[in-house]
Amino acid sequence: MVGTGHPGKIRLARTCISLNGSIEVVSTPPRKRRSMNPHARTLQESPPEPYDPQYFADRQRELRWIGRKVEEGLSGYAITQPVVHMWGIRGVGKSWLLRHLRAQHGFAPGKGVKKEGTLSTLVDFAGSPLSLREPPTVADLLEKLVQEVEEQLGDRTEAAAGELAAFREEVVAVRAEERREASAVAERFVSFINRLSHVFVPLLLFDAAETLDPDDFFWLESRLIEPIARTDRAIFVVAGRREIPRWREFGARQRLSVWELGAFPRGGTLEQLEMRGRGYLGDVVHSLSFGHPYASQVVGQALDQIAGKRPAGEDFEEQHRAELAMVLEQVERELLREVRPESHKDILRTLSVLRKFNIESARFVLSGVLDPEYGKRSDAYYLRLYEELEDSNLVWWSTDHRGYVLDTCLRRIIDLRLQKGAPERYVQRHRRALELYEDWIGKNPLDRGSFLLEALYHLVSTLMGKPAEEVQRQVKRYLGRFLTSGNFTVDGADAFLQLLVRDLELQDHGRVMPKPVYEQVVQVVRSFRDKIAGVEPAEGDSDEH
Amino acid sequence: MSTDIGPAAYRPEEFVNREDELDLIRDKVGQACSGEAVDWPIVHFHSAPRIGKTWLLSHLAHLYGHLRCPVPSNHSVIAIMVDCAGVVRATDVRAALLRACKGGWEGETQDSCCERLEKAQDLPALAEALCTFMPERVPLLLLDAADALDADDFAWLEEHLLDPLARTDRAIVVAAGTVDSPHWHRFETRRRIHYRPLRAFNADETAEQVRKAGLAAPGIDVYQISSGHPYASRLLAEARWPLEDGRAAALLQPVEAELLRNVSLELRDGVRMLAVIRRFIHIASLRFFLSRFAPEAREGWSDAYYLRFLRRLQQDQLLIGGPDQYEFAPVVRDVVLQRLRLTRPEVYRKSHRAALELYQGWMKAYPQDCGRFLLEVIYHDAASRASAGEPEGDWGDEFWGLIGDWLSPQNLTFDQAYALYRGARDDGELLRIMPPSLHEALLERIKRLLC
Repeated sequence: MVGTGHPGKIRLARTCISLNGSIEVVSTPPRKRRSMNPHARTLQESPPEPYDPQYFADRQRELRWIGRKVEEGLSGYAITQPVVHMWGIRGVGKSWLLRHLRAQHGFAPGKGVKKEGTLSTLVDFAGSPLSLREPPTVADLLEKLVQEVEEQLGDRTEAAAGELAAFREEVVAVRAEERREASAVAERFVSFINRLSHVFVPLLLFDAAETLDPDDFFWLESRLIEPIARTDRAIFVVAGRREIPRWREFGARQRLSVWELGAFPRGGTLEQLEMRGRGYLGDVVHSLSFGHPYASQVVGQALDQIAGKRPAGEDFEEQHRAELAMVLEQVERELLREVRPESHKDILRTLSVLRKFNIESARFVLSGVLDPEYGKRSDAYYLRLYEELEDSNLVWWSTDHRGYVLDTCLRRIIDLRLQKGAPERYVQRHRRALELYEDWIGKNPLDRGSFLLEALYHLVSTLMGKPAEEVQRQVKRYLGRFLTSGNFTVDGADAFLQLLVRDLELQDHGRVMPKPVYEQVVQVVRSFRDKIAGVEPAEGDSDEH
Repeated sequence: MSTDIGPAAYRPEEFVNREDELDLIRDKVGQACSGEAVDWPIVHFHSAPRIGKTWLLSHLAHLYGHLRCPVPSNHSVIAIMVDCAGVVRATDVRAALLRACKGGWEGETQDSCCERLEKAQDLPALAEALCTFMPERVPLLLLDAADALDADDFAWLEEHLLDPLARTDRAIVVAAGTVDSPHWHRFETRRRIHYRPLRAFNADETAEQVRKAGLAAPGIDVYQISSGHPYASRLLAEARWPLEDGRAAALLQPVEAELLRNVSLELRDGVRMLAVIRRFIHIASLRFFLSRFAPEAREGWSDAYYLRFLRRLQQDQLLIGGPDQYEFAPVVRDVVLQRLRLTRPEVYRKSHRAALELYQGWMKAYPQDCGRFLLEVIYHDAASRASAGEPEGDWGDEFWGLIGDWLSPQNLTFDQAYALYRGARDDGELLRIMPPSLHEALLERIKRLLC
């Protein structure tokens, strides 16, 4: 009943969709048409901007990491972990970083101690198709890379003249003979780069790796990346929207480091906006975009129009609620643009209420918020759904959470958009989630702390807009209901406290939980733990910072 | 054998990495020089022992004390570094500051500044004198080993020197210690602190560290043993390579001793054995391990005792918070476990068997949550067999006997089975020790629950 698809993934056959043997029809639940907002036309659609070096911001750490590898190579040392797999969601800045690396490390004479310098090439698989079934696409791609090398090095490619000639011959042959395989042309390319790498440090940059078919990616890994990387003289940076594809070649895996490219910290967003003369909006934009560079671009642009160069005051968000909801919706639409089928977008929007989810929680929330039909779907349906959602590169499995997570920026943007634009729906879905976790608190003694934490998150969300004192009072009463020695052991209470102090989202900008409420919760939980442990209150006045 | 080791003497030409931390201070200096209020002017670096706090502070003193770091024209930085480990009482800090001033400045700066500082008879006057240098001269006060000061002495220092300096938002204070020490008490200082953990190096950084020290050892191999602990890397890289297991274990000995220096001797062995556990470190697991392996420990010790002990380990940054309560900081676990495996293989095995027993007990006690512990049972069983050198072919029957009954729809919900599948599939540590064929078979068995 279970077949294999991508390596390491469960792919369920169609006949296995339902546990009772019947075939389920996966229908798209009816969608209500939203009325057009009259302001909608005033906002321009803003796709992610193409790379422009004068607006490149942040990413100093990543540039430094690559720079360190380049330095190693230039000094004649074996390069440590020369294969870098960098992943992050749409709009996070992978392409910008790769293009910046290409510009930084293009050939310039006199850079190296032991070598003549660096050379850089970039392939964007989104625009350069590669398919083993069509060997000429491989030849085209490799030829493009060689051209880039020649443009940079000019006569210096003489160092690998023999290899270059052999490569060209093979390119011609691949194009001429329909049945000729692409392996030989890859071998010639590898020889060419490996020869050059005695004199230069090649930096080969591959963008949009997620668009490749897994078999094509494996071919690329085994025929191109691994044979070059194992010399430890060239650097690969492979960017994609997901952490997988899993690397299979031992030679590549042992040289691999995987980096997640995340949102900008506050300083990065400020820098991004300052470069466009919008620094005065830095903090408010960061608190709305959560540091996602594309979101900051769109939000910054729109707020600049709205604010008209006047600093955003404390009531700015409240005054421009509707506009902000529209701007966030635009960001959301762009980030969800490639999700297929359309119905999955609604599923993701609905699941964004949960900070982590599995089958049971998704079923509960989807059936209560989106469509009751989801309550009848089988476990296998949900497994298949998750597999499809993973393909959107916006959802992935989190080992730490033992569940699926939606990208944090996207999740928070959707939630914030609803809070601003559809407050009733926002409260309703958080109520549903609260109901779920309250049920689970009763059923799962070991995870009580983590469920109570989620319940608190949803409780506070349902109290949105209420005065801080009122929220504080309700939260205290709520905690009192669950914090009993019958519900918690000392270990359980301590685990809850540790989760609480490490939960950065609850502390971030007071968006979820106002600061005094958060501090009160920490204090109450700490006192409770110390009391049941028999620890003096004075001893327990600090935890991890 | 003495375990009292000092950090390797700072050598500016060998300083590597820590760019993020240097940037952090550079930004604050930039703010102070431009007349802005410094965001969080107190930086509290904390880490497990010998991760490189002293080197970092020494490097900051080197950069700013000798104007090797560019600052805006018409501005300068008065960098004063005090090693609090060498200061007996807070009252000696003034003398230490003056010594640091005299040693650290050059030319006119030294003369005029020192003159003013020497006139200061006590800490408040010293703070006042430092404030008079602003804004043209930005005081950068570097307190190394600040956790070594007695709590009362630190409180006094905080009240009379650090708090007045911090309140100006124009002076920068950098303190190095552990996560909770020195303990800042005053409201005005607490709200200005930026807590910043200092981490072990990654593979690239370790390779660079080795190279910059002019050592020929292979950086990536050094990293695989040291896990990026800078002091361990240095010791290992100085040895003759290739390195035999016994030699590696001997070289890690002072590093381990330093990491565990605050753990009392009678509990130290128990903690070493506890390091086999990957997650779920809490009172119950501590009680289980310590009562079994540390003869002085008692099953009857109170929850409060164990809670204090856990917090001590957390404050020393041996433990960190993980998704399943506490876990060892990766670099700590790697060093301690390496030593245990290499020097006392039978104890290493015994510890894994004990962990196996612990998790089996919990699976029985919490059958509705058995999926969470099953992966740990699998890991500890595999680790003990691998360390015993059992032929791979012999693993099968006993292994399936151990876990087979648990792999059923009665014991695992669909969600739990799926979480187990993902956990087992992506568990790098398990993959390294388990025969690939058995690992594949395990995944297949779990998959069957998903149909």
